[in-house]
Amino acid sequence: MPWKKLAKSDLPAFLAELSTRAELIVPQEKSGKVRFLPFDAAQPVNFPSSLVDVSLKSVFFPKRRPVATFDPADRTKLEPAAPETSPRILLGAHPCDVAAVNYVDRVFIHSSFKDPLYEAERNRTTIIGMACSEMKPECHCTDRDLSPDDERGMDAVFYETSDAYLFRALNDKGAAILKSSLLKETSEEPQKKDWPGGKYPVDPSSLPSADDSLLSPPSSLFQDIADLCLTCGACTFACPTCTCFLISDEQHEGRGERVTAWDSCQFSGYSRMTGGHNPRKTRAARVRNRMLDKFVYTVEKYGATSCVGCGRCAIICPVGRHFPKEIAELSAKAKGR
Amino acid sequence: MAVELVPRAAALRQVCDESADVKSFTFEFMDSSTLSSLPGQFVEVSLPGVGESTFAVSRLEDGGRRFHVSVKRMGHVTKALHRSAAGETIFVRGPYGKPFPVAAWKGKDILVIGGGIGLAPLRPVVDHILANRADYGKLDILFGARTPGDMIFQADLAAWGRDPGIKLVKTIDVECVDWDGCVGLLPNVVKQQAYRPDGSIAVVCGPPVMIRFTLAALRELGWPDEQVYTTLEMKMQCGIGQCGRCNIGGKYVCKDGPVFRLDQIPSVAL
Amino acid sequence: MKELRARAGEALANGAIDVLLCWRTEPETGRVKPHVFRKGDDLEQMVFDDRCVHNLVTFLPEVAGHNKKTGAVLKGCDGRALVTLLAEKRLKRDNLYLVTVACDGVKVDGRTAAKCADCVTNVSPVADVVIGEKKTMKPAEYKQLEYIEEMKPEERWQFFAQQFERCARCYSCRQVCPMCYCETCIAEQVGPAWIDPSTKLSANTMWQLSRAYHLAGRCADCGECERACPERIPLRLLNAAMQKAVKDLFHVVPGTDPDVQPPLSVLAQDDPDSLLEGKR
Repeated sequence: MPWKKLAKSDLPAFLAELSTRAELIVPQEKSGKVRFLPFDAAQPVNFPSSLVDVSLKSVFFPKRRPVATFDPADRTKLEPAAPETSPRILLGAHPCDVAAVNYVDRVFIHSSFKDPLYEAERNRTTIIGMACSEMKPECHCTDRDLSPDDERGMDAVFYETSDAYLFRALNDKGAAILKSSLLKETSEEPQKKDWPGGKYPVDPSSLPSADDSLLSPPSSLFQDIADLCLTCGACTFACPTCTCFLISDEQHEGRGERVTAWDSCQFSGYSRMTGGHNPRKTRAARVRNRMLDKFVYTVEKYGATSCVGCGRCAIICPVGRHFPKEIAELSAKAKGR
Repeated sequence: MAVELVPRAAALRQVCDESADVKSFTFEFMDSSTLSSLPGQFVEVSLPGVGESTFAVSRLEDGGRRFHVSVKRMGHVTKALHRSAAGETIFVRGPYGKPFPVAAWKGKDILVIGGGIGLAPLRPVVDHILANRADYGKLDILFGARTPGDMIFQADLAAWGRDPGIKLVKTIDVECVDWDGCVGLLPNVVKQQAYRPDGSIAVVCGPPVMIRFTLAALRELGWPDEQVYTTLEMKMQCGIGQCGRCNIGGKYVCKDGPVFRLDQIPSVAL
Repeated sequence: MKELRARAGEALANGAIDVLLCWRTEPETGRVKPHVFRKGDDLEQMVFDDRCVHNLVTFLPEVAGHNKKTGAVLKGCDGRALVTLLAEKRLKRDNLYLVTVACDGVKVDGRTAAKCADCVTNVSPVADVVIGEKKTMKPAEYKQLEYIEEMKPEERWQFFAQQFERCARCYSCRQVCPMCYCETCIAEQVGPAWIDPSTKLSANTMWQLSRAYHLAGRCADCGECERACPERIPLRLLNAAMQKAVKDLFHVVPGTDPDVQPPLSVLAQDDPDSLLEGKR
């Protein structure tokens, strides 16, 4: 499909045009962070050259998501939530986040039970991804079989040049969105770069296998890390592929809802059973679970490792833990054993 | 397409007291559909506004038109269930989980070992064997509870005791008046009974501690791991392999279990 | 720094302590992180400067639980938290070797932390060793509350609703807080569920206010909750409001006096009783 050029000066008009066709979601700054929000013409759009601060996890899998409603006064009916169908355009998602969404599809679509609410969010959304023009200090997507200009999973992609944006549709869905008089066909093509790797490489096969770690006490490798981990959960909320959730029945002002809400394997009560038994009572056990889940367990559960190398865990940790560095060290240490 | 997480309404047909803190509930889906569960599978039972909990299906009636769960009163969901009466609407979804491979056990002798509420997921195994008696060899049932009052499924126990094709051993933990049966913790009774492997299948269910020591006892008696099955327990929420919680390493207890063959669980877990 | 490293090295070498909780610069990344120093470790990487923003007291119970004698290097606010933990018997004084270094303030995002403008003690009120000079700091005035107090109730609610809406219930605030150590947090209780676990505004508000109430008379204003919050919700304001009320009622500033019990942990005959006295 051909490249199309949008002059930077035409961006506001293009955004306005897109927003008449569908709900438009773009990166904007709010409360100190750039995040994906519904387009608001009064707010400046912010297309970062690299990582968007807050992942687009909540765009497809909201923090709080009703799956059914009930009347607290008559609990004999549970009405399932209806999937959303109105079209959406997600503009400006970077390769790591798109790869993350593709991974999350394995959990909610390509597994034994399809989640129609999640699938509907995916189907109604056209993803116009944005290639990164640089890698930020914590970015290490190249160590995770990705690259800052990876186009997989996108319906269309755009690159930023000094005075314009170069768009290209990657399928029919994307092509439909790029039909605009503001986008002019061009022979100009973005420069593909050579991206460095080797920052935090991990060899998943070297890590303690799932078998070794099944409910057994964690090795000292994890205890040392756990001493200074508060298992606060910030990393799991920042991580675009962490989708653990809880189910909660909530009543408010005469309405009842059964919702899924973000949860975290780092919370101490996460695996606690009613009798009080808690297989992951210690911090080391929870730290081990998270570290190995990303690189070992998800392969067994969903067929792929789930770290996309965005580095948000390292950025958000309040005590300065550096998960990517730690897992790389763990991998190296484990290899040497 | 239905949202799997949203359960279907079921009528509570019957409540039966099994013991001081265990009740069996018989359900029938409002839309008359059958629950086509296999032995060892579980369902998620919920009361809107209260919460949802995981229970093994403890019996099917009428081809699955009615199904039982047997519930020990422990937390807020089970307490709410115990307060429910016949006629009320309760919500159920399922069946989920990997069942006991009863078809693969054809022609073999079966040893069923249940501790306390652990007999609940095992009863469908016995039901299946008795309904297809010619397909299976000897049937040994060993059931242990803390006290005689804690024994669930009294009617079944009586019937099994009378059945000449079943060797039933009941045991309680500590000596008790009016009990002249076996006394002893299950793992010890297993060793006393000296059950022989000889190509048989053993199935063990109960509290985690009981399972651990009973499996060790079986190993001591020479049972190969490939002939022993058990159910693992982890906290569950979605029951369908998505919420992340019930994993043991890379396996979801709700999807890759709850039934596991012993050689498929590394010994470090037990 | 020299004195700190010397004392630390000595205590570790002669076995007076098994471990020392302090900060370390990570050579590869340049980050300053909490670190557990052991005998034989290279102490050149040990650091105490305005990048040492973390409250090491949060790590202390876990680390002290694994070791016979634990050392820790404390800032003033860290020490205030420790005073309250000792009063609550969460830690045993005898197992601890405490070194406090006079603190001039720490930086967050490149600027002096807001909490440092409200500092009431530049050294830990409890210590075995004091390095540097203890300064007389101004008393707690809770000035940061002024602009909130000027708002009418409806404005105040709008302000906080906007903040609480962003809460993702990640509980980083709770986990970094040295005073939050309940084995089962009220937010995790299910039978009954006092606080719904999802992120609707009413539930988030309930969570934030509950935590603030549970910190009344205990919060050391270390500011870590606000710094750890991925949404930078101004949590210090909530805690300050509680501590101001505690100061007005009980004349106590938490953690500043090792001889004073946390006021909501003890019942004294002369506790204020305006409710029964009919006053407002």
